[in-house]
Amino acid sequence: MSWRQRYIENRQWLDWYRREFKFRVGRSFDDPDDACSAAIETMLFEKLPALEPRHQANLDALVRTTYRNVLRDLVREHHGRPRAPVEMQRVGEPIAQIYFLHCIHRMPSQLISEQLRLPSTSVLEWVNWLKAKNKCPKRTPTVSLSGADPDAPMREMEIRGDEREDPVGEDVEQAQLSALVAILFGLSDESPASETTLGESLRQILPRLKAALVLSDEDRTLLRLRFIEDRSPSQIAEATGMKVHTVRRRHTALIERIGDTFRQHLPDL
Amino acid sequence: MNTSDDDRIRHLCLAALALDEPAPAGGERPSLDELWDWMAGQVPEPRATQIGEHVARDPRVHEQWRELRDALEEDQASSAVSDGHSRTERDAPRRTGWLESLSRWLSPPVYGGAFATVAVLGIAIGVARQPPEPDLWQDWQVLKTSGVLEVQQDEAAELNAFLVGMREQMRLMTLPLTGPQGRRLPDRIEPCGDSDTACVQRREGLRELGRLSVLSRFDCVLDNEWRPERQRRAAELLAVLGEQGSLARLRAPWQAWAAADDTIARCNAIDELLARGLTGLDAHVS
Repeated sequence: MSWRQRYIENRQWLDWYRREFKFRVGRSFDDPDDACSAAIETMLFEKLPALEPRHQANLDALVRTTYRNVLRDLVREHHGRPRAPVEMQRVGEPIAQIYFLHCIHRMPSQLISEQLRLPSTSVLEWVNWLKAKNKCPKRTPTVSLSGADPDAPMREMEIRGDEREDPVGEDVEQAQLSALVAILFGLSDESPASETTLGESLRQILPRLKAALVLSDEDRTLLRLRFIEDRSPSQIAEATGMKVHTVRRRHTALIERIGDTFRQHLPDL
Repeated sequence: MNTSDDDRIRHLCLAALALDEPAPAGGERPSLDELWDWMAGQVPEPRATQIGEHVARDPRVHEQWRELRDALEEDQASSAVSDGHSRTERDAPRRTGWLESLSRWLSPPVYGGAFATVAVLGIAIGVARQPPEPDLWQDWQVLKTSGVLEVQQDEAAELNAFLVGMREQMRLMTLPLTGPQGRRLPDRIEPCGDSDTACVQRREGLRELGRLSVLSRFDCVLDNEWRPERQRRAAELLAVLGEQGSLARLRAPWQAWAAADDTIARCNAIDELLARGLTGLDAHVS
């Protein structure tokens, strides 16, 4: 029997697909039953047959992750592929997902934190920033003739042209500047006197700052594991195969270097 | 270092990531199943190195890696509590030993070591499981956590670390992240003072004790096979931390757990330890 059979025919797995749909994206659809059927159909007839893992130990994790990708794609397709603000895109996933869960799914920050497995303080910071900067798409107050559940309809959002996914023509430097301002000032309690003035002064030092902040692959991974995933040194060691004391040593050196570089180029920080 | 210092560092590091412009990784972006194979060390060179570059340089690939790790952790947590009758983790070498032997950084299979371990552990266990859905707090005595507790600042922070560990284990087991009566559990350990490594060690130890306690409570609830390695680890932690004055409240049931030689004594001790840890939810710092 193919390894896929149990994920296609097993009643418990079919129940899990439904539960996961309801838990993760159920509120995003006007007709969740149809959407759930579509998700399961895609999983069973497209995604599972396309998977060709070389090793087949503990495949549950691969199947679960594949299905979660199906759900994410389904939601993005349904909502016209809005994109997260450039500030969040610069930091990348999973921070950009906070936008979708907060603005599109209207999920409370605590639930976002649990679903994305991100620290609640970090999620709250970005949610507050989205609110303060009014970054969520507007909702058009339409009246449904079918009297749909007011919590359910999501198609009524107006996605502006610049909020749709369009990687072409993005001004990288402008996005970096926006992200810097948002992260260094927008997420903290400090508010600069003028973001325009700040942006201009940052624009001038940006090339030197970037040149001094070059990261290695190891640096990037350490930063993401520590400051986005909020993993402890021992968890990072487990994920990377490094020894804990090596993680601590490299982590300390890295944050010192980053701190020194920012202080050198932005002494007012 | 206080919380605002921590936040400042985190913000600077996020800013560094936002400014990062890595060179494109070689080859095509890996598919999910290729990434899965890479984590288990099943992708040959030079492709393995290319995938390592994608993981490090492309946040979308890093995210897929994270999701696979999370899903593996779910399975592992599930196996730890629901599989007492098949071959269990006690049949496998200790994870840390495996990890040390697999230790590598940016040499293929990059970042794959730990998850190769988990994958092999999956082979050792030999079955795939469903997420468990039992109730951790069934039969819990409501009165166990009643009343407001006057504690010193240090003790409140230590109890908090224990509760954070409980919550982490419940998250790994995909359980509701609440204590008895739906009480919310904290999700963050209170930071220690600058260079106070003893404090860090103590709170990490308590976090681990919280996790062990939840796992063991589960074994009691489900009537699972006894796992001597958990009791052994609780005893090791007790030997290191048990004399700390701020942990006096936990000491008696902790000692009873370490010394228990039958299921009833063990489960009673674990219940009492959890109950005393949960008093941290009602702690009033004096």
